[in-house]
Amino acid sequence: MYSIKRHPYFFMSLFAPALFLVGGLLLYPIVNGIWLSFTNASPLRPTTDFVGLGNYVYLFEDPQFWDVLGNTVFICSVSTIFCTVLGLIVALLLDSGIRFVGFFRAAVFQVWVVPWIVIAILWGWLFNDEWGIVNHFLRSIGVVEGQMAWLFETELAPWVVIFAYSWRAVPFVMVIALAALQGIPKEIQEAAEIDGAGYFNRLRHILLPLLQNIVMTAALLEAVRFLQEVTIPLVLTQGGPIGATNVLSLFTYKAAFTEWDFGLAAAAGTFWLVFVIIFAGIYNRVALRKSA
Amino acid sequence: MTQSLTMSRRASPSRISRTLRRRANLGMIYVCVTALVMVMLIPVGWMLSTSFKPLKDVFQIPPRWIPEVITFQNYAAQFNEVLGTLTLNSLIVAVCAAALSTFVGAMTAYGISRFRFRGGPVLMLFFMGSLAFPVPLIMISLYGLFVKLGLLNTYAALVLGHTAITIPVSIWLLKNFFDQLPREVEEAAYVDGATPLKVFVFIVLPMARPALAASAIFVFVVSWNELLFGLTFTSTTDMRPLPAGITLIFLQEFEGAWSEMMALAVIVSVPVLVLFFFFQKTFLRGVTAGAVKG
Amino acid sequence: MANVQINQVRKSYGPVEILHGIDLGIKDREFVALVGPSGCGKSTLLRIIAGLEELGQGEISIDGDVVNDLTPKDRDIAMVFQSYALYPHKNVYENMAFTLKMRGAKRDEIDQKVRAAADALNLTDYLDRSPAQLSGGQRQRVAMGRALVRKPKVFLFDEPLSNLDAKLRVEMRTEIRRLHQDLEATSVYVTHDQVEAMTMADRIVVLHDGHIVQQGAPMELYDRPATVFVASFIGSPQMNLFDGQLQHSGGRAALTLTDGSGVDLGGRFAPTDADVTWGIRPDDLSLCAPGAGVLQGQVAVVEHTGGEVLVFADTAIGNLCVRAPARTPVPRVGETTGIAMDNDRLHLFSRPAGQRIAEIGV
Repeated sequence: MYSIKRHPYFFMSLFAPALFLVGGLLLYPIVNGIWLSFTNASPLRPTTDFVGLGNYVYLFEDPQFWDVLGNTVFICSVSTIFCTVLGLIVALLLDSGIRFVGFFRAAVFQVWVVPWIVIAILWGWLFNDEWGIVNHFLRSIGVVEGQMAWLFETELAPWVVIFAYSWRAVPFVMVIALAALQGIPKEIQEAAEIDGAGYFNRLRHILLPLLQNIVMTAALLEAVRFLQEVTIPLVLTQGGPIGATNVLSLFTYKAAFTEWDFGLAAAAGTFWLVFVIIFAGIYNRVALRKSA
Repeated sequence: MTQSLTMSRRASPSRISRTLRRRANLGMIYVCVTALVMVMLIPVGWMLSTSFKPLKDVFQIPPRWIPEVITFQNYAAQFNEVLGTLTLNSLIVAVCAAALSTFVGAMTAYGISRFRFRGGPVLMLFFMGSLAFPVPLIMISLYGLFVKLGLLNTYAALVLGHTAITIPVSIWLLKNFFDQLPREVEEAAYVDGATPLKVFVFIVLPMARPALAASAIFVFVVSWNELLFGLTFTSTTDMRPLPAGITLIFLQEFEGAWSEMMALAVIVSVPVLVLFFFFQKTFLRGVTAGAVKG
Repeated sequence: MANVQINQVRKSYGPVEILHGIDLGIKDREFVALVGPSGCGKSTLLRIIAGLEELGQGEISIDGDVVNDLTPKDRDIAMVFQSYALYPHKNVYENMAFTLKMRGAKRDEIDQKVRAAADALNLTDYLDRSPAQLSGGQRQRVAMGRALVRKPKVFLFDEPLSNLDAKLRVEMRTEIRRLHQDLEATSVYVTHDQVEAMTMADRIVVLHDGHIVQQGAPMELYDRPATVFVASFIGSPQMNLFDGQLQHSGGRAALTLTDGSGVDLGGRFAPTDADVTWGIRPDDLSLCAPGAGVLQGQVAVVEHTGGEVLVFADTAIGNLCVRAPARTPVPRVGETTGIAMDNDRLHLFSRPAGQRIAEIGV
């Protein structure tokens, strides 16, 4: 609408604050962070030296780092699949012509603002081996006898994290999918019904294809957010037991601010960044339907 | 073959049985929805239930949903100076971050939306991509920067940190809104004699109130949640926000007092839940505006 | 108040040129309608006059001053938008006061002018309402009021009536014309509706593909369209157009229709041999007994509009439309009818160029 030529000062003043903030708080840190990954920077050391790929070599030779990557990919991908499928199902149910949609939606959506620190405390109680309600429920339906030590067994602890992540993210996917569903003109579904398509055919041939891009984008956003998430592993499981819930975000944070090895942490962070960019690029090609 | 069979069967029954079928289907959907919503709400319900029980009743087997004895003792025990300070710190930081991120976000979003220039799409791509910037990686350089600027252990460090990680979403949310806003209204103001700055301040910002609110709520919730900046950039209780303070203080003193922990959890959730209930519709519209557009 | 001079204005979006050198002079107190199909460039031209779009090349002057580099504010114009573009968070009073406020008017001056404008538009009772509480017609009035609180040099209208229902549109047509006369204003009015243009404008400018194809008083365009495009665009129902051959026989021009029959042109045109497109308005055709007239047709559709009857008939040269006065006996669908033509009203255009072939002595 406006041209830069005619309103140069207005243009500049609109962008100046963001340039300052984003430049100083995002662009500089990321560029500087990538640079640090090639150094042995540490607040504990008086000088910083260039070490080339040293940090990366160290990381990739460290079996613990590979465990961390495995945990991260496992926890994030399973959580993403869970929350996407569940969120989609809830949205489809809510859009099937029932009443009180606003009420149900609000009831679920509020979960999305429950603070992570609260979830960390709450999950410790729900999954308590002796008194936890989860174990009680499993015992009462006869699935297990005795106690499942959710937080103390390497097989089980990642699932506690996954349940927390999925639970917290279902509302986001639901809200996005529901809004998209409500945006599909009712006539399209009615036309399909007249053409003789039952509900599952409509779902397969009309609704899901129309939802695909939005839901898959929401899933990617959640996956990226799960990668950033650190409260549950840090507070609830402390990465344990025996590193079973040690994820990349926790590993990087601890390398930087517990061991004060900025160089190594920067290398882990840079690897993480590159991994996300490549993954998002591939995902974009595979999961998103190109609009004709 | 099977397809045509089921189709003909579906078409044949009389109207009455069709209505019945519809009703039965709808009934099933209500049951499923209610069950799913219940499952989603069980953790919150259990948190509330436990928080009102005396500690000895917490370990009852089988567990009781409605407490036998209701006590407010667990809440009363939380009202101390430390929690008060932490809450106040969190409030100050979250409100400042919400204001800064939303206001600067609105300016940037408006610029991208209304000026046609080659850098616009590139900027948007950068902002969206920056959501994937690993927070610990950013923190390394921010730490050095804040040390140099003498901002460690101040609200400013937290506000700036939280603004950095939320401003891309604020910009995205507001740009979607501005893109959908009819330009004729602004053109009318422009023809009416307002300068672009006046158009922005007197016409656009008032019209954008719902989107500004959605952005502010989003930033507030993220800030209220954020743990790592709080742990790293503050060092004393009088500056610490809630998540960091709880991790460092309350969880260290915690001795299996689950009912008190649940009361604490409820108290920490209350501000964001209240905010959510008042602005639910606005927030929803803001978050989903981009999705519906595609 | 002011005249507007447009010289050689060009405008491109990327590689696509939208306006190809427009020249147009608008006189003081004139009401000029820019018409044309969508995409012809009429709205772009209006927005360039307003200063909302920058012009690529050329010059715009208002009252003798070149305004190319002025912002809308400094051009002293007012504009009424198709969507009304009311400020949703301001009430009717504030909507109208905004422009005066932006120009630093005193409060009592604003009050007096807003109330005068509200009075002229019957909006006095609605000053406290917000736009959302108004009907479509009232919103349109507020948009008008916003334009006329200040006495601008030029009023610009961008399809201001197209969001109204048919009845209101007719009422507002008269009202805008009345306001234009009362205010002694210069007005430029963009519309795609040729009826609006015909009824309101002193002068109609027809744009097509970024060129001005013809301009003139409404009846001038109706009676003497310069091209086949204008002939078909102005007038409703549109002119009947057919191919034909212009031939000279015995020093006089005659028209041969595609069915081989001949029409005497009575010496109106210079005698030559040429391919032509010829046209005749439905008003200039009449129904007669079968066997009489120049053409024989089978009635396909009969439309009663109340004041008149439109008869669509299939003939040997194609389908055509005849306008007959109401309450005259018309043949029924399927019946055969004769069609007579007022040869003096026949239009000729060159083919394929589509330019009007001038009559002798004009």
